[in-house]
Amino acid sequence: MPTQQRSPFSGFFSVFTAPFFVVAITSLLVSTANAAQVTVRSVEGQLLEDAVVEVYYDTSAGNPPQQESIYQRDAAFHPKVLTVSTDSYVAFPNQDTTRHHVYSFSPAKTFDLNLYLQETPPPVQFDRAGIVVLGCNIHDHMQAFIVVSDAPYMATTAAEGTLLLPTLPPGEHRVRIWHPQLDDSQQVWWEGVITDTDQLNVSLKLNALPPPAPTLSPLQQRFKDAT
Amino acid sequence: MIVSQLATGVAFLRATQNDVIAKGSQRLEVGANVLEQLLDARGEQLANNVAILADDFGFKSAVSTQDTDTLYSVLANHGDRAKADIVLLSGLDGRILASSHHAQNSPMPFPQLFDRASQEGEAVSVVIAEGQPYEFALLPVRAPNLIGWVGMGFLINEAVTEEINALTGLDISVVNYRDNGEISYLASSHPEQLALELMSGRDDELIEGEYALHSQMTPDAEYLTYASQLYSDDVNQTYALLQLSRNELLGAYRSLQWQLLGIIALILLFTVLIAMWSARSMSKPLMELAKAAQRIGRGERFTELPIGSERSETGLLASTLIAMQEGIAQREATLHHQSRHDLLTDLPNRISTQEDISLLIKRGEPFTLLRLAINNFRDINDTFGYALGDHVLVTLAKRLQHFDGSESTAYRLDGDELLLLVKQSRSDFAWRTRLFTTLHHPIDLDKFPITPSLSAGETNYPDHGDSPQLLLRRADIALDMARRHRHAHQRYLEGQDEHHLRQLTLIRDLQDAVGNGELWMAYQPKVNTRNGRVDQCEALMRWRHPSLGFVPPDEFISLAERSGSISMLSHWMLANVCAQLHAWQQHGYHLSVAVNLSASDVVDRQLAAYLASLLERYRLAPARLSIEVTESAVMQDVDAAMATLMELNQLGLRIAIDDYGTGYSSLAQIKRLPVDELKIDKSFVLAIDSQKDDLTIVSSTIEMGHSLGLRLVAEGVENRASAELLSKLGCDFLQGYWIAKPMPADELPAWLDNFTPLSLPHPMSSLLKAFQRKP
Repeated sequence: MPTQQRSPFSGFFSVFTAPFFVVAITSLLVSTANAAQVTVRSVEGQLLEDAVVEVYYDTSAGNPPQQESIYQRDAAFHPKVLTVSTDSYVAFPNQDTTRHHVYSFSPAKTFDLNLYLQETPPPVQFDRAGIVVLGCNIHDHMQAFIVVSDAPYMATTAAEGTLLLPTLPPGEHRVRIWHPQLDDSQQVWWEGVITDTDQLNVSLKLNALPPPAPTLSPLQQRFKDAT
Repeated sequence: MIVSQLATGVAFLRATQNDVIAKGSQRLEVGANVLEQLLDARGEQLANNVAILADDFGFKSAVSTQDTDTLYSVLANHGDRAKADIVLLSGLDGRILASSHHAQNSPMPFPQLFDRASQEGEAVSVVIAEGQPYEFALLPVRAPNLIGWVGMGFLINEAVTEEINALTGLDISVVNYRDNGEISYLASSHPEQLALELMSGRDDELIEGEYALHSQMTPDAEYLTYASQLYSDDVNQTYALLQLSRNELLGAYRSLQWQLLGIIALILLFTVLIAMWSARSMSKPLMELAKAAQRIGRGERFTELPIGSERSETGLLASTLIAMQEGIAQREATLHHQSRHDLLTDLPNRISTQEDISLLIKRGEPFTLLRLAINNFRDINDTFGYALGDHVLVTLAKRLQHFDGSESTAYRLDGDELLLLVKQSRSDFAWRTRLFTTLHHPIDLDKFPITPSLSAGETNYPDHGDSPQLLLRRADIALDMARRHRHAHQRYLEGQDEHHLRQLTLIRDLQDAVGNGELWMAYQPKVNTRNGRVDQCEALMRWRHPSLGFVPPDEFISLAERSGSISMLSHWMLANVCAQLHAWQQHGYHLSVAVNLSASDVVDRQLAAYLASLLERYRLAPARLSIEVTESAVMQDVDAAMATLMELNQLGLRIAIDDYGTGYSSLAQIKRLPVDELKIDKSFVLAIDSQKDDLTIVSSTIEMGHSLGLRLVAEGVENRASAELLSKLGCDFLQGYWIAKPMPADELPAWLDNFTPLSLPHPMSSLLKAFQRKP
């Protein structure tokens, strides 16, 4: 197997070239007998969970729309990051005892589901590819992301930050990686290429302002204690 | 005192002023803190308002719509609600989405603030918009992800400055300077015009940090100023200036200053009063005392100084001054007494004598001076010592002092000389007897009674002079006379003083006589009775004084002996005679010359050597010269004279005893001397032809002399009878006017040439005598 040393910046800056946006990449192609694999880390070296990896390749079969759900429990969305193909439906069942008011002002899909408890509102269709940021109007710290993708392959990294790709067609393929902390605008992707056998290691510089810590204010604590 | 008071006052005022300024500075710094607190509090309040806005769902919804008109109305609505003066919304990159002061899509106008907010999640600080300072809060808008930034601010205007002014009582100005120094904004608690004046052109100082570290006075010294920088970038500088006016700052100090000045003025007044009082009570008496001291110094006397009371310091000083004056007077009296009294006898001294005599002369009262000397005083001193000699003097002084009461006054002139001034025209015998009886009373010297012997010389005023000097000198002359004649008393005789003066003149002029050629030698021939020829002369010294004329040799020789110049005369004489002998010898006159030596010559141990040198120099045989000495001259110091005469004898000179018969020496004594001749004194010869006694004496003298082997010379032969008589008696040489008077040297050869040898009768027993003479 040929060993390929690739420039860490190859294929980078294809979409965004803002000066504050810097991504340091370590792209290591290791020849293995296995299928392609992507590992996402922060530049500090921490393996990143909830990174979304898209791989584009020619395929006749597009991904069919899905029926997914993001439930709310303990004033948090679960899962935090959900990838769906375009036109998929996502339901937002509430498993807490408090009401939630789920909304999104994201361009890909703006909606809001007024306060509800057990009566789960009808699923929302996400008909445009893009990042949809979910929030709750009465729990500011609640946050979740739905990545609506047209890519033939898309997946979210687990806690170990590694994603084993399915068998890809031979040759180079476009690959995009996104993470909630990558940029506040949520419009920035890491972009690169990958072959069917690449072991791709990506280091992302996380530029987004960290969300406020989900600490309970004294008032919230009292309310929580009361329930 | 005044200076120290002023210095104290100034120091106090300065300390107070410094204190006031320090307190003012503290107030200003507190004011700055209050301003900061106020801005912080307002900023926090604002931030809370902004946070409420940012969290508002409707607002988030409006932001997400990106609809400008909606955004404007939302921002305006919420801005008004929060009483903000400025409100803006930016995108994530800071680009303006909507702003009350900025164009849409313009870059973030507050990059510093935005950077901080990006770092820290939110930021509150002063910003400048359109040249005006705002307290501004910028917060993120999350939906729930960050979708933008929203900020509000309020203008730091008069409301703020008034509040600070109300809280702190300080004047505060918020001012923004552009980079060109222009004031773009000014809010002040000062009146507007004053504020403008105060702030104009101050930007450079402020930028350099003046007033910022600590407060200080403005250059016009009107305001204590403390500056707090609110904002700074390349274009804008915003400061809050806290100020205290001089009047307010130093108001309390001013009144303190006036009080202190008042106190100092009072103290000065007191000082002046005290100085005046002290001048009156101290300086004035002191000045008077000083004047009094000067007058005392000039010899004035005070019995009392009317200054101050006895107990005051000046009074004490005055009495001390009086005491000092008394002390000085006593010391003066003592000094005066000592200057006019003899220390040993306490009799008035020579100065007093002259003063007292002058006084009596001035009064024209007749008086008598009795100058007294202790004859044997030297013996007393030598025998008993000076202490007892002094005792004698003191005793005699006391006797004189108490002799005649007020009628006489005793003085000590010097040494053993005392003086008695008697208020009588002259002393009479009885009085003098009484005096000498008193004085001659034996004095007990160390258990040894001694009888003092005194001589007195008397002068009378006005008979003997009209000045103290003259009277004293004449008394001295009289005393001298008395002592010489060993009399107890001699009154001054007219002419004694003239004689005395002549002697002084002669003694003085004798020194120069040799040099002036006033001295010359006369030669008197002697006739040898055996052949009637002249082969010997006696050389006699002659002096013709330029003004006094011919001076008898007896007079000037004795003066020379007394004044010590005899040796000089003798040497001159000997040299002169030898030179003369030499000259005569050259001309074929082989004479032998006798010279006279004085008593001091015969004790001169150098004489023989001198004579030998003369004989050698003039190539003279010793026999050409003979020596004549008087008995008395030899007898004064027989041993020394004997030695000299022996030496002269050894030289080969003949020696004659001159004036033989007038002294007391015996032939036995003469015999011991190396004498060849005797010259019989002319007193025996002058009248030998008529006086039987003289003849007897001369005859026996000749006979005795011859029997001792001596030759005899007779002086004073004045007539032929005497000459023949002497020749018969066997006298060997004759000398006298009958033969020739003494004559000058240059006349002698002619005289000799004309001289016919005398025909004189031979002595009866000449053979026998000749035999006896030459054994």
